[in-house]
Amino acid sequence: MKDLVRHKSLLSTEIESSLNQQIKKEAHSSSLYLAMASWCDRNGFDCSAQYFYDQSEEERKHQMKLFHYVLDMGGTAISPDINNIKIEYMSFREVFEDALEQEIAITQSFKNIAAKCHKEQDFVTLEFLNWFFKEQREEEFKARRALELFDLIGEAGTGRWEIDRHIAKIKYSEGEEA
Amino acid sequence: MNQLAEINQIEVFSTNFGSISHCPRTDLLTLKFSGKTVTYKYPCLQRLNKVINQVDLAKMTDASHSGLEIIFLCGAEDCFVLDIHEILGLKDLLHGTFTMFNLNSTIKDCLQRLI
Ligand SMILES: [Fe+2]
Ligand SMILES: [Fe+2]
Repeated sequence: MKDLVRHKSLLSTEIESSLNQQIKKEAHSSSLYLAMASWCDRNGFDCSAQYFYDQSEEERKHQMKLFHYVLDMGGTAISPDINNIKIEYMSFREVFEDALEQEIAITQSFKNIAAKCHKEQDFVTLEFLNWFFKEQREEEFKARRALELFDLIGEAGTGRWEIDRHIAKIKYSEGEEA
Repeated sequence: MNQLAEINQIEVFSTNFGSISHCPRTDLLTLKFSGKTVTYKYPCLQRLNKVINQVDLAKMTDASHSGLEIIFLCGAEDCFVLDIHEILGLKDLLHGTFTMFNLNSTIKDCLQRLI
């Protein structure tokens, strides 16, 4: 008999399902960042709002990168529904604490998928995931750096205004130039 | 289905409840179950498997439940109306079928691709 499983798709059911979960997580990230942008925009933190608008777009791109991979490999990409997105934050700092937490969760989730790929020797997907691991280096660095600004500059007086201005300048150079 | 195609059908898996066979010429899969004969493409059978596995069996035994489940697949013309015994039977049949598919894939790897 023909190998219908393999002819249909490169992805195993488990990996396909993990990738679909990741698609949902990236979509969730995108929505979260948009909510953060909204909060910053409403509270006068214009640079941070822009930073989160950009992050939201980035997460959408991550989602689509995974989406196309699943389809290109013969799987079924599932368009996720996202709900229960936070609207209010207690403080400016809390927004960035949540952002770092979100990026850490995403990194951990990718590590999980990679472990599954290793287990079933799906080196094709593993190689595809490498792009995301590199991306997570940058994402965690930026989120951590933003939080550092709160300690470095301090929130008193015009501190928060100053922090907001510096958020726009956060860049990750992988230690090449610097 | 003409006689020739019928002859060429390869049985993938069968139980007392029904059978699933594959046509090498068209790659279509024929499910014979609960007095019905339905033909699916592979992804459609995968969806059927998923839907069957998602049926809440405990809920079906509830007094307020009709005891029947309507299995409808988008992209397929037919639907199944099944009671709990039939759900279990179909679940069994599909589980065996996909086990055979995966086994076949592994055997192909070992005997043809990795030598
Ligand atoms: Fe992402
Ligand atoms: Fe991210």
